[in-house]
Amino acid sequence: MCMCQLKKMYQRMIFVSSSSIHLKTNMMSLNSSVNRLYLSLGSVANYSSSKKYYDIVIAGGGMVGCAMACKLSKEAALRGMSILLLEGGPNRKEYDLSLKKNTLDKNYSNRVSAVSKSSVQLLQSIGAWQIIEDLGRNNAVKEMRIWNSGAGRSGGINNVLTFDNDNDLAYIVENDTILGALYNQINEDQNITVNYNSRVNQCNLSDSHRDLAIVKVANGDISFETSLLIGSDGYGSKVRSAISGQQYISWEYGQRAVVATLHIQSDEDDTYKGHVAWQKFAQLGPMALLPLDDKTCSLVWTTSYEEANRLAELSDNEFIDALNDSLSEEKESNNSSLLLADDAVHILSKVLNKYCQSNCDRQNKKIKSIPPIAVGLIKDSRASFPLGFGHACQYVGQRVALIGDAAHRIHPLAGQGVNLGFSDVTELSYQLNQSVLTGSDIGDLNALLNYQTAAQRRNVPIMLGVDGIQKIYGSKNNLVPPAIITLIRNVGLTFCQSVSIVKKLLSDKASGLPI
Amino acid sequence: MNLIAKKTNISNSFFIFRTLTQNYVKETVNAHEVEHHSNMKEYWWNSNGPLNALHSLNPLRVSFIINGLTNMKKIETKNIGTRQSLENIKILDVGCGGGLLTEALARLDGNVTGIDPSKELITIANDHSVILKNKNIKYLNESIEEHALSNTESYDAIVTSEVLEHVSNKYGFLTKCVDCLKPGGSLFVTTPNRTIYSWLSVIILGETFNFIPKGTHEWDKFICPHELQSILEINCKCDTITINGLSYDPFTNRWSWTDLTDLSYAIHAVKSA
Repeated sequence: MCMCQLKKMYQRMIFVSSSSIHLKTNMMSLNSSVNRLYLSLGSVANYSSSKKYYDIVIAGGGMVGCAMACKLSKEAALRGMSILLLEGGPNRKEYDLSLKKNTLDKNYSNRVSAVSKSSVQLLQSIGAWQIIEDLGRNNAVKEMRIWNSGAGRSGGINNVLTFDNDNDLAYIVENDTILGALYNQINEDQNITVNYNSRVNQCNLSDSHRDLAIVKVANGDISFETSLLIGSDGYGSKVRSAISGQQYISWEYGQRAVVATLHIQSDEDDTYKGHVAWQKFAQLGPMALLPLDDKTCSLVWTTSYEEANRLAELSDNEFIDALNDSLSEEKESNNSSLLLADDAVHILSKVLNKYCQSNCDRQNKKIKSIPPIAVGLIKDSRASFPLGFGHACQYVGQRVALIGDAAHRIHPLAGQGVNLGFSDVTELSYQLNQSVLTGSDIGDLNALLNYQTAAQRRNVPIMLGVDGIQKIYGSKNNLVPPAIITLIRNVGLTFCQSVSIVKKLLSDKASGLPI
Repeated sequence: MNLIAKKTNISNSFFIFRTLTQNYVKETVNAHEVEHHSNMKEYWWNSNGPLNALHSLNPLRVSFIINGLTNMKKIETKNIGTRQSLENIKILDVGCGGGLLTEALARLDGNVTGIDPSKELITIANDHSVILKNKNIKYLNESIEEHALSNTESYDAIVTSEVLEHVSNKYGFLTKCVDCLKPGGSLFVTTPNRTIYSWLSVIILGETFNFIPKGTHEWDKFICPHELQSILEINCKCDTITINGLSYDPFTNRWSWTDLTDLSYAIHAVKSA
C-alpha cells in the first residue's frame, strides 16, 4: 500500500516536471509561430494587396499551354492544385466544337499540325484525342513522299525518299480542333481557371526560395502570385526574357510559309489515297502537302519574302497555277554540270541499291503518283507567316519553366514544332509529379533542372537536324555552285532511301517515341 | 546481411572499445560542430550553393522514408502515391539544420517537429517555413536529450539525416532518439560510411574541390553500418529493416541508390513493440 502511494507520488512529480517542460516548449513554439505570423504579414505588406495566388500559372493558352494545364491537373500528385491559364486572345467561337460536329462539307481551317505518336499519347492521357477522333478530324498519314527539285534525266527515281510504316506515321489535325478539344477538357476541370484577354506583360522572378513569382497582365491592375510560372507564350515570350541570365539564340530564315487549304486530284490507284504527305524541296524552299481527306490537302509552302508577297497578290486561280508549276518538274536545265551531278547520283543509287535492296521494287512502283495536282482552293484560306529559328539556353529558373515555342522555334519543314512542345509537356509534368511526391516545392529548381536536361537533350538534336535540312534543302545559296548543292541534296535523299537503318531512325525520331 | 555479420565479428572488439571510450562523452552536442554549421546559415537554402549536394539528396531520403513507412503499413492506403502521404504521421527531425528535409516532410502533410542545437539555423528554418501554408511544422532549438525528457514514446517516425557523423556520443544520441519513438515506430538514419573510399571522396575530393564546405566532416567520427546496426539492435532494441547504399555524382549533382554502402548509406530500423 505504502509502496503504491509512493509510486503514485513519484509519477505525479514526474508529470509535473514534464508538464512544466511542456509549457516551456509550448511557449517556444508559440513564440516561433508569432514570429512566423509576423514574417508572413511582413511579406504581404511589401506588395499591393490585389494579388491572387495560384499554385501554377500558365502564360499563353495555345495548344501547348492548354495541354500543359490539362496534363498537370490530371497528374495524381498534383491533384487539387489551383491552375490559372492566361490567354492573350479572346474566347474564340472556333474552339466550340459543336460547330464542327454536324457540318457535312468539312470546312477546314488553314493551320494544321502533324501530330506524332508521342503527342497522340499525351492527348489521349488528357482525354482530348478521343474528342478529336469522335469528330473524325484526324487523318492518318500512312506514307510520306519526299522529292527534290530538278529530277533530271533519270526521271526522278534517284531522288525520292519515301517513308511508310505498318502503323501510321502521324496524324494531320487542324490546330483549331486540337485547341477546341483541349478547351473542352479545361472547361470541365474545376481546378483550372482561364482568363481570356490576359496577355502576360511583366514577370517578377526572384532568386530566393521564399519569394513567389509575380505575373502582371497587360490590360488590368490585377497581378497573380504563383509557386510556378510556366511560359508557353510563343516565340516572343515575355516569360523567357524575365529569366535571369537568359541567352536566346535566334535567327530569321528570310522565308515565309504560305498556307492554304487545297482541293487536289490524286492517283485513283494509290493504295494510300488520302493518307499521303508530299514534300518537295523546291528551289526556294520546301513545299508540303498534308492530307486532310481524300480530296483535301493543307499546303505549307516555304518561299522567299518576295515570292510570298507576289503569291499573296495573285487571284485564287493564278495561285493554283503557280502552285502546280512549282510542284511539277521545273524547267529542265541544260547545264552540263547539273546533269553530271544527276548521273553521279544515279550511279550511287545503283551501288547502294545493290547492297541494300530491301525496298527498291516498291519504290519504283510509287514514283508515278508524284506529284498531286491542285484543282481548287478553299476561299479565304490563304495566309503567310515568317519563319525563324530560336533556342533558349535556359528553359528554367527559380519558379519558372518554358515550354513549346517560348523555349524553341524551328522551321516547319519536318512538322516537329508542336510535337516538341507536347513532349515538353509530358516531360515537365513527369518531373513535377516526381518532385512533388518527394515533398519538394512545385517551383523547386532541382526538379526544373531535371526537366531542362531531359528536354534539351531531346530537342536540341532535332532542332539542329531540322536546321541542317533547311540549310541544305530549304534555301537558295549563292555561295555554292548549284550543281554541288543538287548533288549533295540528291545524295542525301538517295542515301536515306536506300539505307533502311537511317530511314528507320529518321521516321522513329519523327514519331517522337523512344527508339 | 552475411557480409555485415562477418564484418561485425571482425571488428567487434574494436567496436566495444570505441563505444566504451565514447560513453565518457555524455553530451551528444559538440559546440564546435554547432558553430561550424551555424556559419552555413547564409547559404543553407541556396540550392546552387555549397550545400547543393544536401539539396539534391532530398528526393531520395524522402522517398526512403515514405517507402519505409509504407512497408510498415503506417501510411493510409488512400494517401499512398499522393501529396498527402504522411498525413497524421508524427515525425521528429533530429538535427534539422535549416529545415531542408523538415519542410519536405511537412509539405507531404506530415506532423513534423524539427530540433537543432543551433539557434541560428532554427531561426533560418523558421524564417523559411513562412512559404508553407497550412502545414504542421514546428522548430525547437534544443538537443535530443532535452527533447526526450518531455516527448517519450510520442513519435511515429524519427529522422536523423546526415547528422550522426557530427555526433561524438553516438550511443547516447541514438538511445535518446529511440526513447522518443513509439513502439513499432521507425527510425531513419542516413550517414556516410567509415571507409577508405568515403575518406577519399568526402574528405579529400569533396572538401578540396568544394563540393562540401571545408571542415564539415571529421572522418574518424563516421560510423560503419554494422556498428550502427549493433547499437540499434543491442542497445536500443530495434530491428533493422533495410540498409541501402547511396552514391553521388558530383558532376551532375545527383544521388542514386546502390548496393554498395562504401560511400554513404541509409538505414531503417523499427523499435520493437
